[in-house]
Amino acid sequence: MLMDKWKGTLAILSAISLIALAVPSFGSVIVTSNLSTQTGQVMPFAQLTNSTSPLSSGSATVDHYGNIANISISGVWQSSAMNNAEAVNGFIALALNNSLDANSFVTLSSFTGSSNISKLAISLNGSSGIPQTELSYSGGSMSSTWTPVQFTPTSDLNFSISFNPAKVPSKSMATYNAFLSMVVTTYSQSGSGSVYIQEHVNIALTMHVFLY
Amino acid sequence: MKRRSFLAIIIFTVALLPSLATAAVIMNNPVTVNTSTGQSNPVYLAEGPGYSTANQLGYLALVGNGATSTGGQTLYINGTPGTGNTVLVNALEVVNATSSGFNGNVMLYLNGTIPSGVEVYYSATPMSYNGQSIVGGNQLVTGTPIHLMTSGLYISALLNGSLANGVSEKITMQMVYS
Repeated sequence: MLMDKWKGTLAILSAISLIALAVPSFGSVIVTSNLSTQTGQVMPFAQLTNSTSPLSSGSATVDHYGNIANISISGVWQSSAMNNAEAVNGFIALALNNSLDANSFVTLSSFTGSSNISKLAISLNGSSGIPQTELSYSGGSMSSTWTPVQFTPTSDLNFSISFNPAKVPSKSMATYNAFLSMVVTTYSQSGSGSVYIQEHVNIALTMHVFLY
Repeated sequence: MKRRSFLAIIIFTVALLPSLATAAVIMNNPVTVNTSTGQSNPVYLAEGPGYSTANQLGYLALVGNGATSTGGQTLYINGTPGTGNTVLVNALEVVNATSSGFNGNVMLYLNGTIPSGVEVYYSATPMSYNGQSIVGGNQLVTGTPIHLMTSGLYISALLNGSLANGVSEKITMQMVYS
């Protein structure tokens, strides 16, 4: 019995010795260095301005059933360079280092409107005039695959918003409200690195249509 | 009789002990240890391909050379006031400059606190941004090991509009080579 205990103790000691011998093979080097972070704020290199162009035109048509068929509003958001301070009255202004270039795109993130608006189309055209985004609005929700609209800092942004209340009976007067929430993203890129900034823009539109 | 024999054995054993002690062989093999701080860090934080743009626009500044620094580095992060986000894509890089003869593992730990309003992403290949989220990166969680298996990691940062002004935090970069 006593002999068995000694054997057990010896076995444990042997195991500990083996572990002690094995430890150096798992040796590692640990190196630490310290990183301090400090936060701050700077002015954005692209900035939305609060002075947009007035809505330049609005129109409505009446179909042959006497219903309002289309309502459209269009205008121009001007883009102006920050280095011409007197001209900073557009939709977006940029203050870029000479060695940097920038581009922007616009994302329509949400839309609500009058219950009698069934469809809304928004067209945001750069100088090329091609990209468009069309939204379907039904039951208070919006479905859309947004299309980035890219434009250069020196070009203006033409936009057109169309309501299509197809089943609204003709009245002598109708009022339509739409609330658009957009994200304007501006970016500057060099090689495989880039900087993006995003700003949120909310636009409320009210359109009164008189039929006579 | 038994007692006498027992005493004789004890006396014999005690008498033998000094001879055992003097029979020990002591080897003295001196080892000289020299210390030096001339070794560069094999893994360190450095400027990434997007650093130049971010720095020129005033959003980021990395002070201190990570390869040779002994006093640490400071990262100045500037966001845009308001509710908008600022995204710095591939602005920093963790360089893995371990020699080609090193076949072991490199584990990277970032311990400490990332300033509130800052999300950090990492990837072995350059990341991109699609207007809504950073594409191709994993979000960094402090204290979680990152197995460094390539020549480096690209670092991107998303600065929320809620980024506070004038916040200082400390982060320890720990590299374990095994």
